[in-house]
Amino acid sequence: MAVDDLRRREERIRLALLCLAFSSVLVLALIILFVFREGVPQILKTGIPAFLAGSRWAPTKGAFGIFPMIVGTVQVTLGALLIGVPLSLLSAICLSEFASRRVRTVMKPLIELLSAIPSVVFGFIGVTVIVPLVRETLGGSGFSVLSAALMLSVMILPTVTSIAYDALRAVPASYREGALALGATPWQTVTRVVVPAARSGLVTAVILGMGRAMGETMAVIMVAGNAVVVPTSPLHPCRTLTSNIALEMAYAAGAHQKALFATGVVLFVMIFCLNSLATFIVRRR
Amino acid sequence: MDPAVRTRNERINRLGIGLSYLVTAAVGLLLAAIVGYLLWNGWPRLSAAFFLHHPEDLGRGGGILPVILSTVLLGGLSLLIAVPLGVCTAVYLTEYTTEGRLTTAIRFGAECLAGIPSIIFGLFGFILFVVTLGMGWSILAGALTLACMVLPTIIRTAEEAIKAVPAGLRDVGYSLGATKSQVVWHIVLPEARPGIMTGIILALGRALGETACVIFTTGVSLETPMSLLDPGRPMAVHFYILAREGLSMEMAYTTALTLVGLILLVNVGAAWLLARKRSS
Amino acid sequence: MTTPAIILKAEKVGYTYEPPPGKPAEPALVDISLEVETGTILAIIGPGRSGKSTFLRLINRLQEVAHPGAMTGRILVNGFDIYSPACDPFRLRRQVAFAFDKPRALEMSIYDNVTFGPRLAGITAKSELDGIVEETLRAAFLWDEVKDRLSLDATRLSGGQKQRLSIARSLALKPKLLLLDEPCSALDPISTAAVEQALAELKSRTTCILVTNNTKQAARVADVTAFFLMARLVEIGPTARMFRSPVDKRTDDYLSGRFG
Repeated sequence: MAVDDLRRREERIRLALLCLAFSSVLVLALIILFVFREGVPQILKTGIPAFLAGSRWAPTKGAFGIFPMIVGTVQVTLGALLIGVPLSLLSAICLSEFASRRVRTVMKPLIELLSAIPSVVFGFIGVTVIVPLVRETLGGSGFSVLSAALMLSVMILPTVTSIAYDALRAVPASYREGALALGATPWQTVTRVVVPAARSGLVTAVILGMGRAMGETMAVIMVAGNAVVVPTSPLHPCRTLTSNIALEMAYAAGAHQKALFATGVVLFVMIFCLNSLATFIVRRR
Repeated sequence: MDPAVRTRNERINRLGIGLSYLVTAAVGLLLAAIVGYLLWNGWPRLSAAFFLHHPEDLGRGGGILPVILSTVLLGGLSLLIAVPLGVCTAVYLTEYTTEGRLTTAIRFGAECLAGIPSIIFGLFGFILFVVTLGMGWSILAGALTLACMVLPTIIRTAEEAIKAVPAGLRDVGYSLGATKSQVVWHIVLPEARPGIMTGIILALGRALGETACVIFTTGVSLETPMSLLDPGRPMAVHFYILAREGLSMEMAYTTALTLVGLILLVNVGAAWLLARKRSS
Repeated sequence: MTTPAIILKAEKVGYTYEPPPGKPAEPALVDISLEVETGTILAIIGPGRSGKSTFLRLINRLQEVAHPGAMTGRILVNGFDIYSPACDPFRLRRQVAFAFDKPRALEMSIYDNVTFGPRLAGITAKSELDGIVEETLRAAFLWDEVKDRLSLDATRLSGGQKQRLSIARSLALKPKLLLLDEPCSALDPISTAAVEQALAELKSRTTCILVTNNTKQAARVADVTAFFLMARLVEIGPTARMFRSPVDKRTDDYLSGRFG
């Protein structure tokens, strides 16, 4: 009967869409499968403590300690957050609380377009502008944790600003009105009422910015110096987990290549934990 | 209130507001500064010859024609793969199911994917497409990897666009005897098209700027790719190599200018599309 | 004298929406039984949340598409139980058309809007489609205003024009029964008058059931009026008699405006 034919066709379409909808889950599973399959055995062979805490990275001689890279990633990321988050927060506050609509319609797209600039271009500007600047004002070669942190802070600005802006906008007007009615200045209203109220959204913004900074590769390679050394000052060069992979992948083979995949595994786990933390915080609110 | 405290509060207030304005202006002007910097340094070399000739001497001279070709092929193919997958996922999530464990799982997959750094996609693309599936360094491997990367973006924007279609419109379709798939195809998707196009264009902008995941899947060959299984070098990678190997700062600036110009054009186009839809 | 055919018969129809978890189910319709003669206009009046629109949406099986719920009783269109397994809901919806309260134009040309239903049903011959477009737009009193710009994007029409377009769109499938859910609630008086005029000329070919919150409209347009109150059918009868001398006190109270 015609009805049954139609119903069967509709059901087939539904099933086809269901299968296609699983594509994102499938890709995620494949990524985890293939990357972990290459990397985890190498981590286990080296031994987890030796891999994570070992300071010697000499792949040709079989030494696979990625501790300097972990420190490099952490330092560069924290530096980027230390510089970038206050700036982003101030911008978000200005756009959300003080700026007129006209200013907002001009500034907000400008800041968002900043995120469209490819990371290699940022790296390039880092090399041509930031590195010489650091070298001339603070000494050293210029290729350093500081340069990388400065550059990354600019790169995460649009992300953190836009999410922080949304979080601030979501605070109900009644909060602000209540504070102003009690005699608070606009600045006090923002710092003591609105920002605390938007806390969870702001934390999400920071964590997402952190994720972006941690995952950045090409730009960091261009400015950080890439020496496999635990940096003890911001002016020292460093190598991040991401740079490690990108720099050596081109010529690595065998256990060396697997060690790079292992570095990828560590990075993946770190970022996954961060994002889960962000989701958890948002849900709790 | 003690007048001394009040004036101090007011001073802090003015300071704080002023500071935030300053920072915002600085941040907003960064974009102009970057574009200006590239323009200043890259303009001299910009010419028709730049776009139409082949590179000479490893890229120190000549033009970037094969690079442009690789860029177009890579971007186009990755969208060709990602868009149907992403739109179908969004359609399924909004039209065919209700919120439950299934949708949570699919959304979780997409969100996780969105947070994975591009270097890991590079590793993944290398081990799966280049090595295991035997494609070698090729446009195809790169496009497949890029498609995986931009998939979450397309899913998210398509979902939002479809959700924005008024419910009553679907009822109109049903009341004229349409089946669910007909309502989706003939009514919902055309209505959501501007929003979906915006998402596609944003994804394109992202794909164009990608380097880390492309280097390990498409290779770095400066030859003109003759087939999808040939390696190639898209603009972002070419720029990276020029800059890092120090081959030619001039060419680097001009390539950067082209790349940034292209991406900005793409993004502004998306914003214009969205604004046009809102006004109608 | 021939007995007029009964196009719609509802037998003890009840309907309950699926309740949100933890809440008790409240019926939206209880024990509705009525008959509609072919070639007439039935108006269903009553205060809000009486079940009028729900009842209407059951007649073309539109309700089940988006809202889970449980129905009891039977609905027969031309003697055929439309909820029996043998009934094709897609074909049913082409024979029982529906016009909505908010004027909605599909994002395509006026011509494509009107021919949307027929094209889905497989009619592709341009001459046939052209004929349908002119016939239905005339019946909806819209032809003169748009005949020179059929390729115009229909979303650019005014509210009243869009509503008449949606009536033309529903008529394109030559339905036997046309259901209208408060079709004039978003329209100005002039557009309302145009719609009412269209309905009056339509009824000989297409029986109409009209849900309306405007009792005066029912008085102007309908042959038969039914009064729904809180999920039940209180009274049904020829419009003139209902308004002049209603049998049930609640009907009288509603029509006099003692409650609304």
